[in-house]
Amino acid sequence: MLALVAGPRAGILGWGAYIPIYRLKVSEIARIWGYDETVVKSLWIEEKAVGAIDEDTITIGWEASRYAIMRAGIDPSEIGAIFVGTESKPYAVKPSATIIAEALGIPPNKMSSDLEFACRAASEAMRISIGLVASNMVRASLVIGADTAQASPGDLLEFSASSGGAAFVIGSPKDSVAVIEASYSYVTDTPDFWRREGSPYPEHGESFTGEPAYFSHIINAVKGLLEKTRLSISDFDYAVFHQPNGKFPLQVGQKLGFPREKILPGMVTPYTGNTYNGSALLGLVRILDIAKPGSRILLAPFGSGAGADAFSIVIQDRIEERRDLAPRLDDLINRKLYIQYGEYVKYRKKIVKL
Amino acid sequence: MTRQVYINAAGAIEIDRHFDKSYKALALESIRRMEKRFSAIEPEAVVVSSMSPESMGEQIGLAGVIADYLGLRRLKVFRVEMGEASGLAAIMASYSLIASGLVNRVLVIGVEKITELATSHIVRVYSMIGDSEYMGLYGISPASEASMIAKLYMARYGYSYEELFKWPITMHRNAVRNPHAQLKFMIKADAYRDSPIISEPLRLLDAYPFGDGASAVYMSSKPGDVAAEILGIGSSNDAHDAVSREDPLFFSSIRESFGEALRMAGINRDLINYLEIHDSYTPYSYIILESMGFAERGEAPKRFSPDTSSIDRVYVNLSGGLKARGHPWGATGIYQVYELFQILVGGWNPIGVDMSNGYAAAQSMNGAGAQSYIAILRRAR
Amino acid sequence: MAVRDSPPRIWRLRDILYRIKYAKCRSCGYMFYPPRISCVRCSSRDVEVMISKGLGTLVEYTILYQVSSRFQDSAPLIIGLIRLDEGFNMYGQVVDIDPKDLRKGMRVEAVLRRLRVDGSSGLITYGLKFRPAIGVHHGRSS
Repeated sequence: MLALVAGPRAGILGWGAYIPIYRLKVSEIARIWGYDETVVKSLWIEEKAVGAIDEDTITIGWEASRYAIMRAGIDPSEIGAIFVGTESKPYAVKPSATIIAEALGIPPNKMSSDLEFACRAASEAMRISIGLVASNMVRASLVIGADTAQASPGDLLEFSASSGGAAFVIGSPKDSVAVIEASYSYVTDTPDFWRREGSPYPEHGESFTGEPAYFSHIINAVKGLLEKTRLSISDFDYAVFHQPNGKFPLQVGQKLGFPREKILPGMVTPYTGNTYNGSALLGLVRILDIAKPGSRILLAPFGSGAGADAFSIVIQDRIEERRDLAPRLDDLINRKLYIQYGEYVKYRKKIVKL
Repeated sequence: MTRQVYINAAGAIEIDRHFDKSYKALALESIRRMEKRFSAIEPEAVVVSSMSPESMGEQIGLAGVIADYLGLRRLKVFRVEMGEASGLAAIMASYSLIASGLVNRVLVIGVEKITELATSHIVRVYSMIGDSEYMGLYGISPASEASMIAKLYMARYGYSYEELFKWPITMHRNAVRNPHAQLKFMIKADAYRDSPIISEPLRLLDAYPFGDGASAVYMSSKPGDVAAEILGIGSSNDAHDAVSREDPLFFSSIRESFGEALRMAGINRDLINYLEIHDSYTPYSYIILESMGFAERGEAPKRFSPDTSSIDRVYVNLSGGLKARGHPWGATGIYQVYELFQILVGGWNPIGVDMSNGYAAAQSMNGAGAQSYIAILRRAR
Repeated sequence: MAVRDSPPRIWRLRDILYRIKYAKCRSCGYMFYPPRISCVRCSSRDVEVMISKGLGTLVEYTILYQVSSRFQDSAPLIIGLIRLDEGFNMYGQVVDIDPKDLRKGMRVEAVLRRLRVDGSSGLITYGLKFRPAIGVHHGRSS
């Protein structure tokens, strides 16, 4: 069932996600800033999750990790590495990973750091974890992708930037619910989207973020993976892409030759907004929540700056007994309290106060 | 015990937002009021009770600074602090100085400045009476504990909010006749409707007002011409927060304090005919009366008579209580003793009932009965 | 007021901020929070400290409007009286619920949230608050 490809392997022992309860409809944002509805509709985002005033990347990461550890069925002391991929760190200097680790009860003999690579930092952490596990440096590695993404008020980005995260315990393939049989990265210096030190909001190149960035890197990463594994598009049952909006994944999927039915199950952004480091990974969570053993998943996260990864993941039998050990992503998506723009700017601290 | 202990003089200033007065000025004024009727004040010790001079006045060792300012030198000086109950704790400490024979005459001054900061900062300081690793840390203010207790009390004993609100109404009516009360105005039965919610269901009118004050008493081992005698004094403590106790609706520390004070005074509860209690929040007033045994558990709201401000033949809080006389934290216990002194010796007769020959008691506590103190006084024979 | 949060204090508190540690009396069985060295009910010193799973029931609640300056951004605070499944009571903030939907008896679980923030440059204190329980999935506690 697994592709005949050499190279280190690891598996997903457990997965988890967390979406804050508060939701802001995009129509509210359009109303405040005077956007025409059609502009908004073309993005295919209905509403976005908003972290409460007492939520941040660390609290979101903790929640998702807790569920991942529950599903993995391991003791926190077995975790030898913890990485947080995020671009909304509560501290510019002080790792979110150490606070999450302490709160989860992971003891000191561990590797730990926060990674930055726009939206793909957690994905890179996943590749790093494969190396750590396969080389026996650690028994299990906890990878967290979480963000409380911010956008300049009134910018088009504000429609999509949201809060949420996913977490995975990576370990030996033989104990896993899903084997990561291969992975590939494609990274270049591309200034499509960035945030300068000290600047509260990112800037971007608008249409420049499309072809030269998102599409080029994802397509190259996927092609690289296919060459390396000699797999073809038709070998995959699901394709999960980085999802800055609802439109891009369908477009890149079409360019690669994936039918819509294989992409739609992994689409989360239309219902939650773009959780940046959680973006593609929440799509993976959704597939893990529903896919049958034997399914093969293509996971292709992308991060501005720019880079993309491609993973080939095969679901194992064990997944069925682990699935219900924690809430499913759909349970979290359906747990909602709507707010208006005023609460949103208060919770996300966009109001200047003494 | 050894020697008798008497209160020979007392003074108090009106409780108010004394923006123009410092700790020193407040203390001085309370002494001046006392000296109007009793000028031979020669203490050997000064005890100052104050809850929050460190937070409000950047002052440690307030007692020393005040003693120096008042020209009280070559004396023993102590600061006593036990949260909201600092005043009666200071009385107990002063009592022991005299009863033991160590000292003959003590000047006790309760002084507090609260109105220095905005409300939210006053709440921050007040919240320090909670365990700073528990209630204080999580923002669970003393008012929210009182509200929680109110709801538990209402649910267990079947009272409505309106039924309990008769307490503030009575307190305000009493305060009108108390010269040093902070809120000298009546309130209507439905006044709560316009009163802002502190922590539901408790509203501003269910809580004590923030005010500054100072009250002083002069204690000694001799009665002189006229004095009030401290016949009994008791104190006890409990778990610091109400809900880690088995029953949050009964304050054991109050029952124990009262029992101890009554035994020391050699009397039965029935002989008490005047009482000042620590009604920081409406529900506490009823629990205090029940914990002192003046009503069965859950019965105090029915047994308390709002028209006469009495329960079981005891007049309660004719001063207006913490609710309407005011609660300048560390000074409150001294105000209570001042009021007892005025009833027993000072000729204060607010309702035309002469209680000067009876037994009077003052009850103070910190938080929800975390630490309690009770003093029983009578006119000296 | 420039009252700064102390780094050693927050570090020292992390064990009780990140976990609910309660005490159980081996003599009389009474359970209480926070732990003390002797039993709140019978005063025995034979007390053991245990870690709660963080799942419990909302016994009572109040909505606090007059909050301390440290918590002004979160006003009004929902303060709950929670009975944890292990058998002890504690106060806690309740989040992720519209106050009008609060019900005595609802199931709640402890989750990590920002508790206090020391201005724009000071430390963030994380701690546990309670929210309506999601599902019934509870494995081991940390």
